[in-house]
Amino acid sequence: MSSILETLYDMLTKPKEAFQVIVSEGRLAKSCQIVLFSTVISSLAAYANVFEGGFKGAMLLAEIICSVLLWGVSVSVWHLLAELIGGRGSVRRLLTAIGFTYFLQLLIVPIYLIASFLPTVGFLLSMIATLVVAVWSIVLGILAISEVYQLSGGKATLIYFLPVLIFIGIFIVMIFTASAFFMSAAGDILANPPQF
Amino acid sequence: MRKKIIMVLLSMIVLVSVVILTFANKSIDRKASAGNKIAVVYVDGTITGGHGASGLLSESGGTDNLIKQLHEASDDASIKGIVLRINSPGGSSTATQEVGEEIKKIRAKGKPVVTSMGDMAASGGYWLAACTDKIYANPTTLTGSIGVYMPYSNWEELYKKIGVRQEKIKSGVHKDILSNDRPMTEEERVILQTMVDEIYQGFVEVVAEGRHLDIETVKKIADGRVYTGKQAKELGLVDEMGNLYDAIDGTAQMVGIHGKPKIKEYGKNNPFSMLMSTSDKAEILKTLLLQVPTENDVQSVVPMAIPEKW
Repeated sequence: MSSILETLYDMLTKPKEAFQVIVSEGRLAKSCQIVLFSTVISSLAAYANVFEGGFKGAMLLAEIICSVLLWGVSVSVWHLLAELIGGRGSVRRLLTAIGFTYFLQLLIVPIYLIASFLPTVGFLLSMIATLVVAVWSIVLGILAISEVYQLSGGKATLIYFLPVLIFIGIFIVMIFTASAFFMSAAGDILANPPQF
Repeated sequence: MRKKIIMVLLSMIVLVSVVILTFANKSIDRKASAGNKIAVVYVDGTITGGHGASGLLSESGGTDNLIKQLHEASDDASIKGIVLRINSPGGSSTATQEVGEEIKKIRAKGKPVVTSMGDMAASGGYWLAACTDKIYANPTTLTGSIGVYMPYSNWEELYKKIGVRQEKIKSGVHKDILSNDRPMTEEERVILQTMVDEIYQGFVEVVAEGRHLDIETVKKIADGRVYTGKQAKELGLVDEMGNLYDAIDGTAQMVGIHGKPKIKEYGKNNPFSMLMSTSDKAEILKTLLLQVPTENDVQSVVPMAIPEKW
């Protein structure tokens, strides 16, 4: 068994090799710890100056629950899609591999600290750091899918983004439907606005 | 081994960052921002009493909500001054008076209240402005309209045409005052005129006190007409020409805040509250509909501090 710290280091420098190790060892308990620890620490940092008291506690709890749910649900959907596309692999191993990628969230924390001392460019710096980590997480997620199901990069990318594309499609349809409904309902008011 | 050392160092940096962000940075921020806030409270649309519209995530309209926001801003020790952003044609004189008294209480506690007029701050909107320490308006803001009216319609002829005859059993001669099925008697006119005059006198006194003008001067300009912001400044009804941010900067200077103040907005609509609550247009329509008099509905003819026509 390799050291967790070494595996995480390799995930930053040699992600493909790191995922081969993660997938072969399949340490789900460690992965779960990483998800919880990373979520708590990054949420504490993100909400440091935003919320207070009991509400902050509630937000942290909600963040942890959402994070774990998102982890489980997204892995289930990706597993289903991977099986449909012809990949063969274990959902447990994908869960483990994706859980390890949550570690990246911790890298934003020092950037948040620096940003908090820079009132003007701080917000921009936080945004750029969040974007970089988000893109990096996506790349690692695709690598994880590719490694677990032994699929090509293109197929893994398609599996990764397909749920998002479906969600965007549903959202657009809902927006158009809602707009049509409100336009129709507000038609009379817009045609005869109140006069003073 | 080298990998482990790097990762341990990285973990320590992350943990130290979280501790600083959670504890130290907060105390620095609190010290820096303590007492540097200016509150912005919005008065939008027709001023009506009560709760206003309650959505799933917000409340809007209704002076109960406005007074609540003013209370919160008054009780918040970090807020040193309040800017009242008025964009209103006026409304119920009672509701306006209630908010005006609340503003006076806040000022009495030593927290200045400054008005920034938007498109219009007429009648009841101006009443509120007159209760504040300083008034900022845009040159084209519609303001003034100092006066009171009580709407009344006589539908007697219409009822005759459609064959409706109102019957009523009343406990006193004036119980059906303002009934729309008969002409107003001279005695009733005198009663109502006295009420309107009393409220008007109160309005004039509020303006005279707030603007440091004598009663007679106010009465000369308080004939119900509307003024532009520029005209209002010439008449002494407005102090400065400027927008919301000029008013915020002016308030910050007034309370001795150096540099840019932190702004805390109350009651500003967010996208969710816009989805979950009724719109201002719907509120205005509702207010207009409530003004249509119905039989024995004396509430619908409360004195209005609002311009009669635009």
